Amino acid sequence: MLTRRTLTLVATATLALGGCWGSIGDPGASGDACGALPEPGARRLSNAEYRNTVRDLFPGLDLPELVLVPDPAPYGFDNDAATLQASGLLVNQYNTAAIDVAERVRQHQAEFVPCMPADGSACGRAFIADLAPRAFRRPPTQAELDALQTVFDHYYAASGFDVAVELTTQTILQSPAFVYRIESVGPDGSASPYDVASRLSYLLWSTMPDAALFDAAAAGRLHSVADVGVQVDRMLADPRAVEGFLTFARQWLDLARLDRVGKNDPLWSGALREDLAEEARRFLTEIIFARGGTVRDLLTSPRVFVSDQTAPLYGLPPPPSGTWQETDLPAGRKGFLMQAEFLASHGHPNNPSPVLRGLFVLKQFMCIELGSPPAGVNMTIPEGDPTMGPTTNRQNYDRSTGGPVCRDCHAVINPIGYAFEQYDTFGRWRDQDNGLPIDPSGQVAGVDVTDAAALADFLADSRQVTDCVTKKYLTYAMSGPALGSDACLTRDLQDSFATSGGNLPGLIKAVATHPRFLGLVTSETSP
Amino acid sequence: MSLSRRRFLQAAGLTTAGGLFLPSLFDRGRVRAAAPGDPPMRLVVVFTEHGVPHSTYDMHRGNPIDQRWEFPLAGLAEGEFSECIRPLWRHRDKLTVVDGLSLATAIADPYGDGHAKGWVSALTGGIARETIEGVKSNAAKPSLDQLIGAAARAADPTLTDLATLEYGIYQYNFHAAIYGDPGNGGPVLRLPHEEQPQAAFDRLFPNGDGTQPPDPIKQAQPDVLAAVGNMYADMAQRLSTEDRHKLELHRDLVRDMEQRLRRLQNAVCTAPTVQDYYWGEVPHEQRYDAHKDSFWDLTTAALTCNLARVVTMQFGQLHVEMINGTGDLHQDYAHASAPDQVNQPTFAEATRGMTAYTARYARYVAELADKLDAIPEGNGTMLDHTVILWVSELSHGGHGHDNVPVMMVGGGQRFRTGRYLHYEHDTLTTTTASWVDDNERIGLPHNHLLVSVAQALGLDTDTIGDASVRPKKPGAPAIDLRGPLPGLV
Repeated sequence: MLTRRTLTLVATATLALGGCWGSIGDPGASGDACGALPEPGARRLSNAEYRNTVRDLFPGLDLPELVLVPDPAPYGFDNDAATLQASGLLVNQYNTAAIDVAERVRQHQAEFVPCMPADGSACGRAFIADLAPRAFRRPPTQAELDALQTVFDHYYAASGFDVAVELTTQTILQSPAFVYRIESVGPDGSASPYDVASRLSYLLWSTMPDAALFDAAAAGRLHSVADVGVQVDRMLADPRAVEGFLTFARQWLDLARLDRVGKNDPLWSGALREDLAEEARRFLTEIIFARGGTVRDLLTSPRVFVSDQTAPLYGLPPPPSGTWQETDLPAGRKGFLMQAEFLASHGHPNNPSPVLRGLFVLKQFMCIELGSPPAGVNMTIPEGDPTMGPTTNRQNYDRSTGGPVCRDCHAVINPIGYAFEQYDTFGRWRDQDNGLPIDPSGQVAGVDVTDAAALADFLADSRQVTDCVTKKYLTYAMSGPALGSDACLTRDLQDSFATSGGNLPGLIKAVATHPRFLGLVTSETSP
Repeated sequence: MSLSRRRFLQAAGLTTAGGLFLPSLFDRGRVRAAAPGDPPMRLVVVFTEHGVPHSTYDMHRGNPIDQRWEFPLAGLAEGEFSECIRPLWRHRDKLTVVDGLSLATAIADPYGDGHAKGWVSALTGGIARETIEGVKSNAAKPSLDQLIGAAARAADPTLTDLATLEYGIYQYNFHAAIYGDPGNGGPVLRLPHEEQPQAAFDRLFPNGDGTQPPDPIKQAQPDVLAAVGNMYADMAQRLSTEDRHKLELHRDLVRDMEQRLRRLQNAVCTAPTVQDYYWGEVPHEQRYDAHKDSFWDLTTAALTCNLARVVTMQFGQLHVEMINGTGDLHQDYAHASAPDQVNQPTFAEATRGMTAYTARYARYVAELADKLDAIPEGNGTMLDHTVILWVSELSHGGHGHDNVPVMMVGGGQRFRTGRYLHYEHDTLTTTTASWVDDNERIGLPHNHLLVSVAQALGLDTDTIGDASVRPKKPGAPAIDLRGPLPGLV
């Protein structure tokens, strides 16, 4: 009874494993048909989107630091439509940001005002007509233009052209059409072409549409999947797509965790952490994304970039300081889960954590969410009991999590994490633990694995893993967990992703060209 | 665009506390709360993480822990105070230690980790609405500070959205204590806190220290915000219910800000000097203490100027070097100091560290009390009209919610201070854990304390958060969470 009450379970697939979870399907598993397209909504830009959009609205402008309170990320991604709400603090921060940005726009107005200030109100009109459509990511309504013109004219009369430009810019930057993505539908029930353009640009680039996308929207060339495909190919080839992919991958793989862990060792320097972060970034963008990598590559590629800081963790010769070298990992090591960034991020100050490592695999690659430990259990990091003689980390975890309250879940978590026991809390290889031999055998989904490499191979072959990665990406792409009415989207993409061998750029393209993601009414989206 | 810059604001010649006035706020006249000799009650909530090490915190003096008792603190020598509380000895006449309460709603909550449940329960008095991904919670009820702020604004038209101030050191994206009810039919929302003293200063003092020449951009802000607010109003009308709520909330917050700027435009209030550092600019300890000092100065100024009635200060955990330790404070000190770790070799050092941790926060609280106690007000000092309420999300590093630490400093106009109060352990446990005995007892639910504080601040209510909670024992009556804590006034 306890486990039923205390564990939140979301398993994508039915697993014949005991105690810790039942087999609760996700919404897509109960039926694969799609319902009507969801109603268009209003979603606030995430902080990352906001900053990128300001950057692209005023190209070349040297921007101040835009301080914004962190966004919530209830499902692991900070673009969750339901929880991106305003707070008093955020409204104040938007105001400060608007003041700071607008001041610089005024200082560099020659670059952003497409007319002569001497023309006064008429030039204000031209300025608004240039800025507002890009800021709103659609043609403004006449009422919106009039409201902005009123602001401009009032301050032009009172304080002159510069002040009018500055305050009009502030108004635009705080307006709902800028801060929120507010969608509307056309007569056929499809999303408007400008909304399609924004869906594409915020998914693929984490920023506003560029001129070519605006042109395509204006020309009616975002109405069919084929037309959209042309844009998607163009956008994926753009360097901004790398940042767009990283915005997803950074959150999916919890790369920010690196900055939250401490080690009892001066080796854990800021320089090392910076290079571990950069190593992961290069692996994901250059080895995986740019080369059309698959989930298998992510989990089993021997390739890695190392610096003079990170190479010693692998026992590799360090390249000259300040340079990065692509190389093969030492034999036996492969994939993201055996790279130092992941292993060190999921280690405690003194010892590696099979629990953190096991939970990460369950959650991020198998989409199995376990609840928190029940109240009142011993949460301390297992340590050896000096009265029992030397023990291994694995033995310590076995002892501290083997009791009746803990073992139901830890029987699932620990055997995945134990496969990584040959890697210490920095991710360095170790032959012994506390002078004792290491047992790296483990178990995942009821299957025995000999060590981390075998675990990676198992995951790379698993349909559950590709289905889970699809689900993670869709949660990101749709700004929240999949709705029941989007069941066919989940199913379509899980199938095509598995068929493609888990090709990650392919998944991104498949989502970006799916009529349900785009909100286009086609034979597929209107059952 | 540099992350490591130091911003330092000098408020030339305006550094003395006291003698502050807000002429523009008195235009309406008859502001009862601001009348001389009748100062309003205020609340400062101090929130620290991880509970306390009870072996160096509790002052039981041989009394039975299952019964109610009290003793006066006034006659105690400094050395008779427990190590954790000792920094507050100089305020012993105005100190109230409230011992033995439980976060009964957190104990009853089957979901989320101990921190998350405690953060929600501590100030809302309710079970979390939902817990997502294990550690992140949302409250179902607004928190005490927000309830008091809303009531104060309703009663005193001179107050603005600054009626409650939410400050903190370190921004956390989960584990939040402050929850507001936007009053639009939508859910209760988690409210973030400000962690940059300079930004907090700019909000309280939009005109800086008053020596700068008028800036047309600043002067225009209320009108710009009015235009922006109208845009939200227009746009909201075009949306379906749920999204309309989002934009209406945004509209209301923009209009709040507009009103506040109009009110503050002619305000005269002594501005403190703040120190604001960015990450890595100075050593952690220096940054932590400088921000603490600045937030205390801002708190004092905001209360003195009648800009705020409630200030919450959430202290993110100290850096490990600030307790002369090494490793990870949460794991190596907080967890390792849990009562069930008493036989572990690490317990002694962990307890030493968490004692230093708690005593440091006691020193911080004492420093704020010093500032407020130095300002004459009514027949006493500002501290007599201000309750500093210090709470935590946990009882101790073992994630328990029974015997949570609670201290109040000040508030003598409403509470009988200078006492150590211990409450009986006679409430049936509310846990859902199968291995806990049905007849196990926990402390008196802290909801009663929240009600007492709310009533002291003028709220006409007998319930904060949940009105009742189910005990584990089958067939036993629900536990009544209504009414104030006996013996406080």
